[in-house]
Amino acid sequence: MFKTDDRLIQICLGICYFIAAMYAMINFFNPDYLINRYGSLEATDTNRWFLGWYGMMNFGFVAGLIYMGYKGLDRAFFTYAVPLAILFLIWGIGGQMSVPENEQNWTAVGFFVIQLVAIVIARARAFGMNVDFTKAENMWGTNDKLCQTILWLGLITQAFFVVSYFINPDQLITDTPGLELNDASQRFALGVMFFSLAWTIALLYQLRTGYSMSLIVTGLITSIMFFAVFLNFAAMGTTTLNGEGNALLATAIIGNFVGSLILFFRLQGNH
Amino acid sequence: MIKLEDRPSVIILSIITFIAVFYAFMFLTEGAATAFMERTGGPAPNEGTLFFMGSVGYIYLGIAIANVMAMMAPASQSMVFFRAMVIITFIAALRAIGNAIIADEILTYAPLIATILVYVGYAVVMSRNKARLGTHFGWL
Repeated sequence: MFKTDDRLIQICLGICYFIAAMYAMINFFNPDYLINRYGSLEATDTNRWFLGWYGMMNFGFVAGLIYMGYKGLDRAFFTYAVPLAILFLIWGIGGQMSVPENEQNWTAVGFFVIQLVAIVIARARAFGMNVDFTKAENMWGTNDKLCQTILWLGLITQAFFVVSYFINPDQLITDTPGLELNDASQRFALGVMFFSLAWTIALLYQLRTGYSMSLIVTGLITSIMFFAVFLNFAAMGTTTLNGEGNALLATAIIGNFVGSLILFFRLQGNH
Repeated sequence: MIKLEDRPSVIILSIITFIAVFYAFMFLTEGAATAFMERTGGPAPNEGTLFFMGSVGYIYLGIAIANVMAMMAPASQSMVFFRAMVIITFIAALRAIGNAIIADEILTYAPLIATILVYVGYAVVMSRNKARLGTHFGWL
């Protein structure tokens, strides 16, 4: 499937695909399954909201893997996937250590370990252990000024979110109506920041070595899902377009959606 | 990456894909499905209704993925898909129109309009990609 003769790479990426797809479907379509199995998670809309968020991010990851399956392995995708796997292993261990022993459940941490090992083996077998920083001919690897601007905006947005998390870790929760501030939601907010951190690293890498279509596909699928869910919330009346919701988050979701679409349609012709 | 040769068809299929994703999530999420029923004037859904709405949501999701696959292939490989979708959406549009005619009160025309537009969209895509078997409604 992954356009390589190396069976081990195929197996490792297959494992990554399975774990990411499994968590994407459970988190997004059936968050109560996880809530019932983790004593530290209460059946609240806040926890479902964050699990849905993680599910959408996982769907994007799966889309990137599928794209690599069609087009071949891509260094830039690993600059997103490897830091993300490391960060989520830290997140998982930290999260379980912070809850009482009788509420701990290490299943997800186990999967995170498998995911990290599989992705590192695939990366090492495909490209060796060295990280290639060969500079692209143009900034972001394209002459298209609009695409360059959008990618800059993406980098600034992700970096801004990481910085704002360190200034006020609870901002996402307190600024979003309907979310409750508690230990579980704070842990989830940390995970959301880890997604942004991984994207920041991947975008910085692309700034130097050129854009990656597999990461653009990853971002596109993620942003489409976020925008569709955002519109659903608007249709339900739980988020309004006239300022009652989290305006910053709404702007980021809309901007991400429009930017990803422009990037994809302007750059896809070269691939 | 996109292999479908006709650009307007790509735009139409992209819009239909997004509509499909939007409705898929609406039917798959309990709160959104309940809100949809209330807004369209239907009775509050029970567990069974929500289950079947979820099934419809998965069908929408499947259609969205099929559209993406159709965009990633030359038109010649998607002929039967375009024809089948025109028939499916035509039947759906007829049913929506029929339901609208017999309804005592209509709170929103949005689903009806969306259903008809999706049918017209697929018909245009079919025509522009020369997937039409006959010459009926050639103006579409």
